[in-house]
Amino acid sequence: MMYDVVNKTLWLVGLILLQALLFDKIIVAGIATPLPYIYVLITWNRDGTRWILLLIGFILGLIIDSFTNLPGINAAACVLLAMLQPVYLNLFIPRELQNECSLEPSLDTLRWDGFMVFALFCVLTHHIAVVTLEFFSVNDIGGMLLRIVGCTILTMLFILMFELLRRKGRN
Amino acid sequence: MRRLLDFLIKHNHWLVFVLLEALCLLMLFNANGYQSSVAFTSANEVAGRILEVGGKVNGYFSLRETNAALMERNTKLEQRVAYLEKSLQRRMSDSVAYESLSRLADSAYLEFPAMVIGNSLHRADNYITLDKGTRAGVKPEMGVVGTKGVVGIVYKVNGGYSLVISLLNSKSSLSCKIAGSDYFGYLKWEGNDPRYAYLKDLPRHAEFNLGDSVVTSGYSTVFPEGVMVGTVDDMADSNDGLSYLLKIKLATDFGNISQVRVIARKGQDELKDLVANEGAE
Repeated sequence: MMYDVVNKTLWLVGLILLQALLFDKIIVAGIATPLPYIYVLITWNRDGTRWILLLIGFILGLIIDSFTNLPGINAAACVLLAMLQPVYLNLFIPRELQNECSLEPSLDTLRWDGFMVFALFCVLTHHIAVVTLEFFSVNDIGGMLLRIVGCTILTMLFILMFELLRRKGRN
Repeated sequence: MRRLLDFLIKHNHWLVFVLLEALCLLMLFNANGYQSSVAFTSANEVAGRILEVGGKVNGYFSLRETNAALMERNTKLEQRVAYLEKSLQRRMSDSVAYESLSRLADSAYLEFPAMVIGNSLHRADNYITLDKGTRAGVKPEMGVVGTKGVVGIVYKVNGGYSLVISLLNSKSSLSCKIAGSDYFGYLKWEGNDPRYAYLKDLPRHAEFNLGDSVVTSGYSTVFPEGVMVGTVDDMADSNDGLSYLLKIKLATDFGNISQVRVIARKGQDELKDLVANEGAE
C-alpha cells in the first residue's frame, strides 16, 4: 500500500515536470501537442475510491493548467476522464479477471489489444474535452478534429512508451 | 430522507464529479479578468521556479543566435549614435542645449532586463512568463521589448515572476503608426501564423510603401514613441472600405526570445490617476 502511494506520487510529479518542461514545447505541424501526463489516471487501480481519483484528476489538471495559463481546461478534462476511467476499465477487463478487485490496467492485465483500445478511449475522452474547451466554438470544426487526432496519436505514442518502461521495471 | 442520504453516500462520486466540473468551468470563464488571481497562471511561485530551470536550459541553446542578433544591433546602434552625434554637434554650436537633450532622453523611461522562462506560439491566447516580478519593480501594464522589437505588455505580477500578454494574444491591441508619418492604427493578432499580425483602422489617405517600418505611436503610456514593431508585408481594404488593413511582418521572432527588457515610463501612475480623475469629474 505504502509502496503504491510512493510509486504513484513519483509518477505524478515526474509526469507533471515532463509535461511542463518538455511535452508542452512539442508542437507538430502547428497543431498537435502530446498530453501524456494523463497516463497516471489511465493506469489507476480498479479498487480505488472513486472520489479520490476525481480529486487527484482535478488537482493534476489544475497544475498542468497553471503552466499553460488557461485555468480550468485540463482540470475539467481530467475530472471527466477520472469519472469515466472505471467505466471503460470494466468494459475491457478479460472475463477470467472479472472478479479481481485491485486490478491495475496494464499491457499484462488487459493484454495488448485490450490495453491499447482502453487507453485510446481514455485519451480521446480527455482530448475531445480539452480541444472543445480550447476552441469553444463550432466555427472551425475541421481544425478541431485535426487537433484532436494529432494530439491523440502523439499522446498514445508516449503512453505506449511509458507502459513499456513500466513493464520492464516490473519484470 | 434516509433513502436519499443512502443514495448520496453510495453515489458520492457523482456529487464530487458535478461539483468539480462546475468549479473548473467557473474558473475557465472567470479567469480572464484583471482581478483574477495570479496563482493559477505560470507566474505563480512554484510553476515559475520550475519554468525558470527549463528557461535557463533553453536560454543556453539559443545563446549563439541571440548573441549574433545583439552584435548586429549593437553595431547598427553604434553607427547611428556616431552619425547622430556628429550631425547634432554640427548643428548646435551651443553645447548646453546638447547636454540637456541627452539628459532628457534617458530620464523619461526606466528599464529592467528580464529573462523569458515560459512562452507559447500556437494557442489562441499566448502568454510569456518572465523571471522578474514586483521585487524587481515590474508592475502590470509595463511594456516588454525584445532585442528586435515589441514583445508584449505585462499583465499580472507576483513577487518573483510576471505574466506578459504577448502580441500573439487576442487580448493584445497596440497603437502603432507608420514610421516617419503620423498616421496610426492598432495592431491585432488574428491567430494561426506567429510571424504576422494586422494593423487596422489606418486611414485611407495614409501614404506608405510595402516594406515600411511600423513603430509604436506613443499614444499610450506603455511604450515610448518609435519602438520597432514590424514591417508592412501586404495591404488590403478593410471590410467597411473606410480604412486600410495592413499585414505586418512582426520584427520579434516569438519562437526565439530569451532576453527582454521591461520598460516603464516614469510617472505612469500619476498620468493614469490624472486620466481617471478627469473621467470622474
